[in-house]
Amino acid sequence: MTTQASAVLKGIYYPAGSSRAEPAEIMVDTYGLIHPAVSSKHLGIPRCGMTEMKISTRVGSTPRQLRFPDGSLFETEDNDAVDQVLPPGGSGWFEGVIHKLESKARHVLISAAVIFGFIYLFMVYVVPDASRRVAMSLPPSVAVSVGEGTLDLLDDFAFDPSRLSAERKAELRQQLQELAAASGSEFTYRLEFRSSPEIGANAFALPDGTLVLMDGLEELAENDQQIMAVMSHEIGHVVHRHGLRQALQRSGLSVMLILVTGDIVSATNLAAAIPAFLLESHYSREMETEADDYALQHMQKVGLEPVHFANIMRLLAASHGQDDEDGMPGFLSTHPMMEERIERFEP
Amino acid sequence: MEAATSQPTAPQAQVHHHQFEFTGKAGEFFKIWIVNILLTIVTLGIYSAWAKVRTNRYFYGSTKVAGSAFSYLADPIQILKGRLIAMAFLIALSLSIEFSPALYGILILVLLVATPWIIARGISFNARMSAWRNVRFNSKVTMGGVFLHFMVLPLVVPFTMGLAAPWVVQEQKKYLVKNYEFGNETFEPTFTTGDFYSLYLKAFGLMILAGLSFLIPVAGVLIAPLLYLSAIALISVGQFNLIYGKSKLAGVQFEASMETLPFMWIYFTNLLVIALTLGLGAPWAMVRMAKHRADCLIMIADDSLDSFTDHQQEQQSALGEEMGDVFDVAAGL
Repeated sequence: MTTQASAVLKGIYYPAGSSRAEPAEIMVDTYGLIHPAVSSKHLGIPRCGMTEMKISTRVGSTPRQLRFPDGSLFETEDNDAVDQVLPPGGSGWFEGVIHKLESKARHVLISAAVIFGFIYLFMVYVVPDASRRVAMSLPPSVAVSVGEGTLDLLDDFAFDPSRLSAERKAELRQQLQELAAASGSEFTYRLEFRSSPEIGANAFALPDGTLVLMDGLEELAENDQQIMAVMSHEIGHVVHRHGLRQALQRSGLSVMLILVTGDIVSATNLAAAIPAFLLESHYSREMETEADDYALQHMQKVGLEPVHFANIMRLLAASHGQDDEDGMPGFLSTHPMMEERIERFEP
Repeated sequence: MEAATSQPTAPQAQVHHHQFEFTGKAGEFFKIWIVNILLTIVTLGIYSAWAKVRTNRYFYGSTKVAGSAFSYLADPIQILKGRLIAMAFLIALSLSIEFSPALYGILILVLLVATPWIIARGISFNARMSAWRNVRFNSKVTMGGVFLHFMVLPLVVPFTMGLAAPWVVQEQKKYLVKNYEFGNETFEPTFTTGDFYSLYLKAFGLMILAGLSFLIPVAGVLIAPLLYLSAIALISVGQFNLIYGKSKLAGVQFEASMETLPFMWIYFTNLLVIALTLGLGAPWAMVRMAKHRADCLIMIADDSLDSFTDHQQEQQSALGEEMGDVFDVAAGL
């Protein structure tokens, strides 16, 4: 087989199985055959065709390695000349394409733009959408198991027992059951009471349908309709399986982060954690909106005035002041949108 | 480039000093790096094996001593297989933590039991894939040795209130070095327990100073963390110097002269640049650190440099290394 080009390559010859290094020159002729140059004849460089050689692919300007069938090695920095005499259709074509991609500034800039676009699309659309689909297609028992043990953990670290009377608790539990019955949801709802001076007025939904009402909220509410408005919102979280979706999104994000940053120095993982953190709060805002949608519809369905939701939100905003960003996945974790959220419930 | 200068004072054998050099360029590596990320993303991670190999080949191939570059020989396909298995395990792990604590416990147990094996395989795979002058490196570390040095010995530390820590670290490094081979020769560690104690003692002194400096009003809050970080930098720089500077390979010796302050300067300005460029400065930072490490290393060799011989070994799978990679249990030099 003939190739058009011939070349003289300057480099170092390493005989097989030894660390001896000999400066050498080899010639590749137009038939693709390798000959030692006159000055290198004494080194015992084998004569063979380029097709019998194992030739390393090109990475930047690092030395190229041409391995002879007998295991000896010729190393040269003359990458361009090696490319000229490469036998056509060799096994290295794939990485040859990669090198072309790497060596053009324009390609590199396009790469950067594509990377950012792709990461954006993936994290903002693909991950949330995929976790929604998966979460909704799994049986409710899976969503329930996600929340197992969460309440015990919170009891150990954050919550104190409630000070509400047994009658009051029974009354509120009755109201939740009425709301839940009207929702037709496949989860079993349960109302738990806790208190905590740090958390104050708030309410949480666990994925298994357990709602946690803090004493602070009961004290703050002007009437029971306002508490039921909050419960409707929390039922929305359960119905839309937000707990499970959050877990799935987190797994999706961490897999994505490992894929992208796996080969980048660990220091950049720190930088990569920032967008992930921003996305988490973006996701949870989206979920708050979904739960609000649900509450609005549900309140209209059971004949509760939506304005009760607006009222309790205003009371909560006032009681928490502007400094409430405690990171709890609770009722109030999205302060900036508060006004916008309230307006939807006003006549 | 040949940087050999003969020592006129050496009486018999010709002794040469060869400066290590790193010839990589930030601009060139940036392109490789960004294409790596792009292709890794669009292939949903499959390309990451090629990305790793190309990155390693760039750094090995740009590190030169005595006129010859190092080379990284791993096959991306081999790494991809290991990576897929590790990834499947990781996904199982992160899903089980949400859905089944019992399965999670079992998987963690499996991981714990397999850890010494993973570490040993990782170390020897990495060594075998490294070569210089057509001669391969190798590591003879075993699962049992890794278990003893990296999982049993550290248990001594709390019982001695930390007093045994320098000894344990020294034993670990010694184990790694004396099992490391280049061709037919084995590296020989000459650092002693005393070396490590004096290093840790200096670092401990800095930490005490850091504690005391908290008492200085206002400025103390700035000085204390700085002193604390320099204690950590002192240890990593000191260990670099001990491990590379006090290991022999037949007739070859090394001289490692890294200093704490320049290292800290490079490390922190690197972090700053990476943060300010949202990660885009990482290739520049990596090249800069590699250059600094090479600048601090000198190889002192007589004519025996040419007489190492290679012996072929059987193929080895990349599984161990990749598991180690994903779960961050690597124990390198």
